[in-house]
Amino acid sequence: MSDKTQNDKSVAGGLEDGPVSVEVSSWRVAAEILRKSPLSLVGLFIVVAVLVMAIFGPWIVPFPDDVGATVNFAERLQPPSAKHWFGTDIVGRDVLSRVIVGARISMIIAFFVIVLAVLIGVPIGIIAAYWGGWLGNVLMRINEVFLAIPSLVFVLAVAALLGPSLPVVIAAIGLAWWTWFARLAYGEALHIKEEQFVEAAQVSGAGGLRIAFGEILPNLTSVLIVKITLDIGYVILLGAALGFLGLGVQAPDPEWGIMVAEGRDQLPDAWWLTTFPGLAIFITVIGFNLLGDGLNDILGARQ
Amino acid sequence: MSAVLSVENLEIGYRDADGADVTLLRGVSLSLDRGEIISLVGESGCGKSVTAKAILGVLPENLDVRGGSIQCEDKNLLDLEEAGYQAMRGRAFTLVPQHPLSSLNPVFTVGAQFFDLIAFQGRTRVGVIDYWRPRLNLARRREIRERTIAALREVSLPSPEELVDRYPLQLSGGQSQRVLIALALLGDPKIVIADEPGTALDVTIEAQINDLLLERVQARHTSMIYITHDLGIASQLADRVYVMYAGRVVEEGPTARVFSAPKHPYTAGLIKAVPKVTNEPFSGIRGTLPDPKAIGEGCAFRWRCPYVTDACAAAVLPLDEVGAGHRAACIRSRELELAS
Repeated sequence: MSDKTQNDKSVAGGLEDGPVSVEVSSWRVAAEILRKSPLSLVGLFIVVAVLVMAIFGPWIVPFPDDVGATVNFAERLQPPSAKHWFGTDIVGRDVLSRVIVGARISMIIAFFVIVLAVLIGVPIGIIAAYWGGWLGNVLMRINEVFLAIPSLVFVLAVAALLGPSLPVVIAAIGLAWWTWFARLAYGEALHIKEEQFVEAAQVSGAGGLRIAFGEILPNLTSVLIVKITLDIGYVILLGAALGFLGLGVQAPDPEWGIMVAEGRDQLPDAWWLTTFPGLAIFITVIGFNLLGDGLNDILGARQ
Repeated sequence: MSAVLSVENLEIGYRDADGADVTLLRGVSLSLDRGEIISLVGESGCGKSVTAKAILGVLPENLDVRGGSIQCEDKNLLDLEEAGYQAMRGRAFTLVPQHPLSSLNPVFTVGAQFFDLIAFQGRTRVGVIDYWRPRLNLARRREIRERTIAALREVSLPSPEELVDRYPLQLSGGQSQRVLIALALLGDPKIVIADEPGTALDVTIEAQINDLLLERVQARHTSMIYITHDLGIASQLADRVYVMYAGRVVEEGPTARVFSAPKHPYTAGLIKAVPKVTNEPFSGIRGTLPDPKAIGEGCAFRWRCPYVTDACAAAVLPLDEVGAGHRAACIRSRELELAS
């Protein structure tokens, strides 16, 4: 439906005399889709909220000191109240403050993991698809070896081997994640390299690298944006799982997985210790997923 | 001879899924003089596009060249390394493609499609730093933009200043084809290969595109190979025509001679098959192209030819001189009175 309107507009745009800006019509289509699917709007809202928390967390929380290794036994294990909305933990720190600032570590992990995965995976996928032959076979078989190992097991092994810390977690998840981007880029590039504009570039004298990264790669942007958005949610989940298992970021850094793990001993009495960080993970992952689905509709409609 | 391109006995085939040998081109020879326009005509599947792709060096990977040569600028293109080929593409020869709407990269503006060609065409190794240099240089960018606008103006596109910033999606088929012609002519090529450039467009636009091509090509004394299945267009544009059938040239000669006095029954059939705007009863060629595996020796047209004799299946028929520069590959070409 929206696809059709888009096409009609483009055809009209070609025949009119005045300049027709493509941005205007895409934004209009985007707005239309967002209006029709309020869920992606919810996703966008959640994502923006998480990003604000991650960037401005330390300045907007009610108890900035509680984020670190402070101790306040006078207020330990208090249930949610007007002063401490999410209650306090076993050493009396404000859970709300820690949950808000916890967004930062999750987003740092997600950002660097995705950057790493895209930088490794996308070039490999495109090169394997464009050159094919033995090179493509070798690259994709290596890729399959990585795919065959469950990512959690791989990440656990790397983290156990190198000792748990933020850079190790990022490197470990990144090394497990590039395979998905390689596969996606491979599949898309295989399809795009058969397009006529690739042959047109070739006959005008463009070389292989120019075609692979100057003609094919830019056509992958929309699928990559969708994949990145969806994957951020899963990376956050994996990062939290590592924290929960004690192999990720270490306490006292505020990280959602660690907070859930630490609060586990206090269940069921102090339920707020696990519930709120758990909800934070849940809502963040849902948010990125909803946004990713919405972007998929918007960017899909452009083609 | 002042031939800018000569193709000798080009043979191309592939191995199909069952391992059987399939021959697509059976010894095609062409020659193209400076400033000359030749036309390859024939049904879909007769090998016109494969010939063009072989010249451009962009044959699909599964096809292999079995023999022959393609001489251009004193080189046999078939012996050329990829890097050497790359340097020739766009300068020695270039392509105006068949499908204008899908031959422009949809994610770049018209201006962006010209940018790298103007900045780098003809160079083989461009490093990352070289690649960014013209992009970061405002004066160079302005200069490239001006050249782009000038190139668009040359192909009679209205308001090129606005067009440079448009995306291919916003162009009509005719506009896209004009942009592609401008792109093809950018490197001042010696040979333009036009692969049915108007087929995807409607007739009036097609005529405009052909006029434009003809005008641009003649203005630069460029040679052109015009591939089409439309005899009407071939007769208007070309100095000489090559009629192809099932991977072979069956008749070649000066356009006027071939069309007024065809010497091969296939050519005569094609001419009769052109629909006319009068009440004349429609007559075409019966049947379809033969399976390339089944042709074997002898004339590939023998199953569809109204004048077929037993001798037709016997042996390979060389192109036989039937007039000045006019040659046909039919054993009965001298005895038959073919009406056009």
